[in-house]
Amino acid sequence: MKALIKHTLAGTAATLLSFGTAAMDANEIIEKSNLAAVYPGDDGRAEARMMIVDKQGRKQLRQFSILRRNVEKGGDQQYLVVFTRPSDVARTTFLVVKHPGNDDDRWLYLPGLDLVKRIAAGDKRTSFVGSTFFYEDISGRDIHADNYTLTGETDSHWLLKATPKSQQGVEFTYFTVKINKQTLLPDVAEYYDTQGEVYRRITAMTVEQVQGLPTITQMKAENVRDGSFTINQMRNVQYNMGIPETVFTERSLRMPPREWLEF
Amino acid sequence: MTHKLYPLLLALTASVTLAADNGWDDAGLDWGDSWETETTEPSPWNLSGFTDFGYGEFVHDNPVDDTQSLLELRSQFSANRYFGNHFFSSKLELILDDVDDHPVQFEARELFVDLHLSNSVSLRAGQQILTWGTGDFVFLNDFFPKDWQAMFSGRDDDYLKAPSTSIKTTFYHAAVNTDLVWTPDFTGDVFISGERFAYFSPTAGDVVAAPPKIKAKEPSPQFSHGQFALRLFKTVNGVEYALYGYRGYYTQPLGYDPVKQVNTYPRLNSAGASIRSPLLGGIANAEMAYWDSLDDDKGDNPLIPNSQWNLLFGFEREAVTNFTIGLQMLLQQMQDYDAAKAASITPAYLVDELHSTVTTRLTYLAMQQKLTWSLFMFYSADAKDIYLKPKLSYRHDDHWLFVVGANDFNGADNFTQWGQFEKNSNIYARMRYSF
Repeated sequence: MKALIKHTLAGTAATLLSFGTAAMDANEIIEKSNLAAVYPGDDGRAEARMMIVDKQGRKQLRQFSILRRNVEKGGDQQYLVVFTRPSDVARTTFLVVKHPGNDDDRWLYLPGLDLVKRIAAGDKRTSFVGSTFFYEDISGRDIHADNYTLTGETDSHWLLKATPKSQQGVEFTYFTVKINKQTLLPDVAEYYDTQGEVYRRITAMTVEQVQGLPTITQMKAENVRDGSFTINQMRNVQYNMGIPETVFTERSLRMPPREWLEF
Repeated sequence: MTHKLYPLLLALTASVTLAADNGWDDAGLDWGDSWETETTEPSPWNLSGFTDFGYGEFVHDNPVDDTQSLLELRSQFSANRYFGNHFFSSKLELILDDVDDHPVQFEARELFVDLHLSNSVSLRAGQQILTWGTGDFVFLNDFFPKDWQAMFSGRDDDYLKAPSTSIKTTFYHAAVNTDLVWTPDFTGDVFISGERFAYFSPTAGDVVAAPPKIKAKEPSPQFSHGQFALRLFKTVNGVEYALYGYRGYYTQPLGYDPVKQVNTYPRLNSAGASIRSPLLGGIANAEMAYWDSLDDDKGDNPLIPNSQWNLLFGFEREAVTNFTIGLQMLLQQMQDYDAAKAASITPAYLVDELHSTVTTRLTYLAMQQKLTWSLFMFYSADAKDIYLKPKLSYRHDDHWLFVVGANDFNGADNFTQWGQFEKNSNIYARMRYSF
């Protein structure tokens, strides 16, 4: 009897220990991956375009330039997004100050009205400009919003499972993310519903080295249920340009800063 | 009319669009010419435009001549480019309007240069749209011209703001930013004149329409008759603060000159402030303004509006995914109310001393944001009137937009702000091709 208890206790201890290490590893991995995917360099810029394809195969295009500045690595960030196409959204500008763990500050400039509109931080898991991507897919989900566990490992990848700490504002039960050991970038993320079925997938399709930093230049977001998807491409990516903080203000919303937007 | 234009539009689109091999992996998709070739220098000009056809009808018998509230074909051609850090923009419109007294109109919605004078000063001069303040369809500190006819007829929301020829200078400073706008030649609102929409006339004691339409005498063009608008603004930790000042005239002809028998724009000075901040997962705003009616400082001239305090509170939040609720409360208190009441020729038509208006904006996005349901409402409990603006818009693709909507006015009395427009209630449809 005593021996059995001892064994069980030992077993429990071992389990706890292995969970402990696994959890720590998973957190370490996701932290590193988050820095590589969302915070490369001190700042960066790119031209981006999105092809949005609905379930009937109809296409829409979005084209924009994006400027990003890290206030703090792994912490606050500033984004300025300037739309150039299609014509009905050209010169529409979007400014975000991201506060992981807190509500982001978001402003939208509508040039037709000369209106600077403040947008409620609201649901970060709503479509970004009508695409299959969510706001959070673009600016990165707060890694502290989920509990990560390491569920598998190959020579090339770690497989993590993320369970949200709160179901509020999330539509998934959990998601898995396959992180490339070499680039530290997420190669695939799959979102599961309450039935344990994958209904949403984000795939890094092309990764390139830019100034020595691995960069996803093409990625796809799919709605597995109805087959609609969006492909996002980046070009002319540049890091560490010294973009000043003052670029991320109302001035740039109303008048996009040419010197940082000329590619 | 639209059919004749399509081939032209297509030809225009085709001439701007040249299929290009930009050497990128197109992921098996046809991206059109979205990214220009790397080898050819892209044009510095951004060219675009649209053609918009709108049709609307009154739902009641109306003193206005036409049964249509909207019947127009509007084409906009936009060209803009940078010159170094400076920017030039033009948005020129040709409008064929079957309701207006002028069936063919040409308008420059934008024709300005934006000069980047230094890292701390910029100047925008020319025909431009200007907007500031925190209200939604409510303007306490924004005296830039509005087009109420556009608002009532169901044109795109952009058209609520009318252009003015102004010079806007902005000074950026770590302590505070400053906007100074000078409109040398007075530019008022496109007001409800009886031409397209009927209104309540206190002299007639009834709702009337043109002819004759309201004639208003604008201040003559001289330096001291220009409009000056000032805004000091700053954002601290995500909270936006602003102070406002205005020196000029009421932007609607609310005064009356009994000798010349013409409506006038009384002098107006205004001072105000606003704050906007995230709150409880939404956005909260508060704004105030004191309108100082200089030509009626005692408040006893019945032909000129009294000075007034204005206070606005607002809150907007995404209630559930893709469904946003906005609420506003506007309180307006007339100064020297007793003097106004005593002097008024028709005191029964006078608005309450404390006049309140509630607005709501409901927005629901569906079908990957292609379909937008929206409902805007103005409601006043003391005036017992309401203005509802339901709208359904469908953005079919990057070119086609379809809109149906209504402007529904109701009131217990025919002399209140919205009640007087009851007979102007209308439904409309619009389609737009963007290129």
